[in-house]
Amino acid sequence: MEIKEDNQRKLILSVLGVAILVVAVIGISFAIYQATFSQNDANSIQTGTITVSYTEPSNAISISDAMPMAEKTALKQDNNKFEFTVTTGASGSLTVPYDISITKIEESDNNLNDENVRVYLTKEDETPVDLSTKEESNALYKSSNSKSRLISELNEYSGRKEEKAKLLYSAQDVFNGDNSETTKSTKYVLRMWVDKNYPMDNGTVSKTYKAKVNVDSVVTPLGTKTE
Amino acid sequence: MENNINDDNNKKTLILSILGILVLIIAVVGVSFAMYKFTGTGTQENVITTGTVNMSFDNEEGNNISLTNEYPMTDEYAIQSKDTHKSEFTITANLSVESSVAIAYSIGIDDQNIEEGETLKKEYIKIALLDDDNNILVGTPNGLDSQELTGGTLISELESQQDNLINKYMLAHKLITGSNTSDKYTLYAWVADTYNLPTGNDNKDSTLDENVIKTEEDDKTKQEKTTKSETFKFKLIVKAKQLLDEEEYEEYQQ
Repeated sequence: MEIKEDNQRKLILSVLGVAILVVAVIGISFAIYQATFSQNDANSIQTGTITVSYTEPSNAISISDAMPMAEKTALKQDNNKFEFTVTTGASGSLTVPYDISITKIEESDNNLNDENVRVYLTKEDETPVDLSTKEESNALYKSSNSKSRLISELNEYSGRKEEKAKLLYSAQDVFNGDNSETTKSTKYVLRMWVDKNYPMDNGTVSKTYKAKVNVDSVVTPLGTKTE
Repeated sequence: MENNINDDNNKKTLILSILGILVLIIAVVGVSFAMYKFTGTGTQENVITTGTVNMSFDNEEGNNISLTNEYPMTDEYAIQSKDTHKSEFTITANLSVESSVAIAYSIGIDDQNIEEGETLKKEYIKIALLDDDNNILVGTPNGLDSQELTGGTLISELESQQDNLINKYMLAHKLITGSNTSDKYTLYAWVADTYNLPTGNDNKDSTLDENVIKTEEDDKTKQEKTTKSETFKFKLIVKAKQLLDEEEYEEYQQ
């Protein structure tokens, strides 16, 4: 019995001995040269930020007993103004475009039509902007200095087709990414009045025109081609 | 009877093992058992000096890609402005022997060192790798064998790329047989145009556009949407190995 155990020990030791010798003889032939290098500093890409905000007063334009008037007269009124602010921001080099549109709110059949209401948009310094105008209507204003437009003369706004919004003005703020200016605010003043050509016949029923201003901004990836 | 057979087997195994060891010992130190001994001492020294292999991966400090305030961009735009999105590095090998040693090296992205943002994942980062001769190793050329780069490759698309040295995100590999080689590479990286900047707002009001925050102050109502900045980081890795036989050499040459 003892001899048997002794034999087994010898066998195990023999096998181990052979294995050690084999490894010793051929082991050194593995991996003569192997190296791994890794970049010290990681490559890093951090995305920039974009902010757009639209601020409007709680009280919108509300004119009762409005009478048709000419542009000159309308621009002297104080009760037909609606001030709002568009603020854009970008931390990097980017152009942030935005569109200002107007959507008619139809709550009853007793509404004025788009052909009866005129709009005029200025920036804070009272400089009137060139309102987006249908091509056929533009011809009418060629020889005129008028900067107001009938709402019916404005282009349809493709960004809000479902609500049949009309585009007032498209603007863009350019940021150069050098941190000198990361936000830009523009204050706008929208004026609305009943066009002078609206027929106010005797006994005309009072009509209403309600509309809201929208601001939409769509920033596409850099290099995107726009149609 | 059975015990005897087992004992016999053990003896045989023991004898065979001892013989095996003896054969190996003789193979290694066998000459010491010679019956007749003659000692002649040579006068000429036979000298073997090991060769040296010196490889380096040089990515000068500050020459890695480090971009802030980046926006998603088309491939076309990224390539037009590629000089602002690049990192150059050199792999140098100095071998003390020219012909008999071949070193293979592979360049890849170290999968242990990819740091993704919450939404800025490897599916949205494009890279391109060019060698010193402007051969496009990673990226889209303008046609077969063209050296005009027209697009990048998403890092996620490289995950399955592998060779004998790098098992994920393998970008390129090369075989060095000359004594002194210096290979210069240029890496470009940018945010793909499929990435939508995430907003940091959780507040969702069904009457407003998604992620627009509405606040009321001083009789004014403000609606605002702000995006959140995210970062994606990755490191390159270079693995090198000496090729030991012709078979391995041919495999790398293919």
